[in-house]
Amino acid sequence: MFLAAIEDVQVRHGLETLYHLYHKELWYVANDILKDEHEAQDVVQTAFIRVAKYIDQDFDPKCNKSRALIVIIVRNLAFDAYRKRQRQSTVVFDEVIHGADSQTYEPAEIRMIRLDNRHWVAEQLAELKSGYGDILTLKYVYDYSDQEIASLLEISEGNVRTRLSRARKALKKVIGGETLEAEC
Amino acid sequence: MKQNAEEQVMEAYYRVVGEAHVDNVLRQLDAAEEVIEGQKVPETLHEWFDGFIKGVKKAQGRQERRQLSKQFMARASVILAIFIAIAGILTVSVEAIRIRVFNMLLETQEQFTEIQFENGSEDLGEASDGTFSSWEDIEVVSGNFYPTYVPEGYIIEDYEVHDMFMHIVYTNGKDRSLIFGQSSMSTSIQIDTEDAQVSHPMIDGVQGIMAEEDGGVILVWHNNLFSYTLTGEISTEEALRMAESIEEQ
Repeated sequence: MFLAAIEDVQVRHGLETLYHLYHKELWYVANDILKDEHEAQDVVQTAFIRVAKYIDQDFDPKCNKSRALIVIIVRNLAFDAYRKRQRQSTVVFDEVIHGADSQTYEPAEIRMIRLDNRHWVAEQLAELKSGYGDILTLKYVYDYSDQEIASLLEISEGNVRTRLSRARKALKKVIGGETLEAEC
Repeated sequence: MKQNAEEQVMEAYYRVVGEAHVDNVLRQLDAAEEVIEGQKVPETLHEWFDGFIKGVKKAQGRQERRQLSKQFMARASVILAIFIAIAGILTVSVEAIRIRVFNMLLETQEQFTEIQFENGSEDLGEASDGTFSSWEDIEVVSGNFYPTYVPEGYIIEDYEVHDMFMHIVYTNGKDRSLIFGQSSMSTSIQIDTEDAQVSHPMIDGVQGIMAEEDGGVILVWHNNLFSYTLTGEISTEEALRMAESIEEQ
């Protein structure tokens, strides 16, 4: 009982520290995308509500991984809010911005995976769509399940699977291009 | 097999790229540090967060109290059974009108003891079937009793009335709570009898039961109308002083 109480206090302090350390950059990220203070505030608030469910006693708000996590959540929520705003008069954001995904797209053959260019690959992936790197990160770095990612980003599990599939294809495209380019 | 191996390689690579993505995200933020520091975050966001944290605290407090009450009831009920047995013996020779206010039925199982009380007295005759069916019935018989003394720094945080049980939660505003409970002696209780170190203090001339465990105190006593329970991380002296201070309101 008392251990549980201590854990609760740690979780609360984790949230408070997270806010204290990063609220400015979270606000910046959201407002930079949305250009709307009210919407940006809503997004930051939602991110904290969402992330609070996944904070446990092992959570260290000061580590870079925690910082990146809350930034990724805010950024994705902000993009979704932006997309909803645009949806009434435009076609889907994914297709407008990058045209990266296509159901008929076949990734280039992956002949070699190099680790020394991983930051470049991540940049290229983000160039295609920033959400691709985010969704892969949530899945494979933070080890969240599809259900947990859906909860964090306020999207359906089906949407999570779709985004993951697109991100994997896009990554294979990046790797394939790099590999072919290196061979020339 | 080959496909599985390729999948494993790709998953490992997704992780590598994901970690690189984290590095990139943080590097971009660091590059914008000056701009970010110059941002004026709306005061309404701070206000919202303060309220949010208060809400989290309150929810956690409720959760802790539920756990506390659960354990408390389990422990206290064990002791209550012993207590009623003693009270029954004592009252035979002391106060005729209170004699055998309750007939106690004990059923001992392998891991717990179940206690039921049958009201066999006439002095509580307003309950025609001999038992209290709800807290409202109890209030007809008598008013509620509350401690007039609480340890320094404690204030009432919550108050709950259930069918056969009322409790008041006191908090010191930090990390400690006290729960005072008043319940009908017609309550049926199941209890685990292990691990309680029990003493028998006198409270207003009636023997009670006090259990100490892990720095916490559970005190159970009665006044021939109701049974009372007090639990929390306080000294035995403070617990007894609080118990002796109850008065009908």
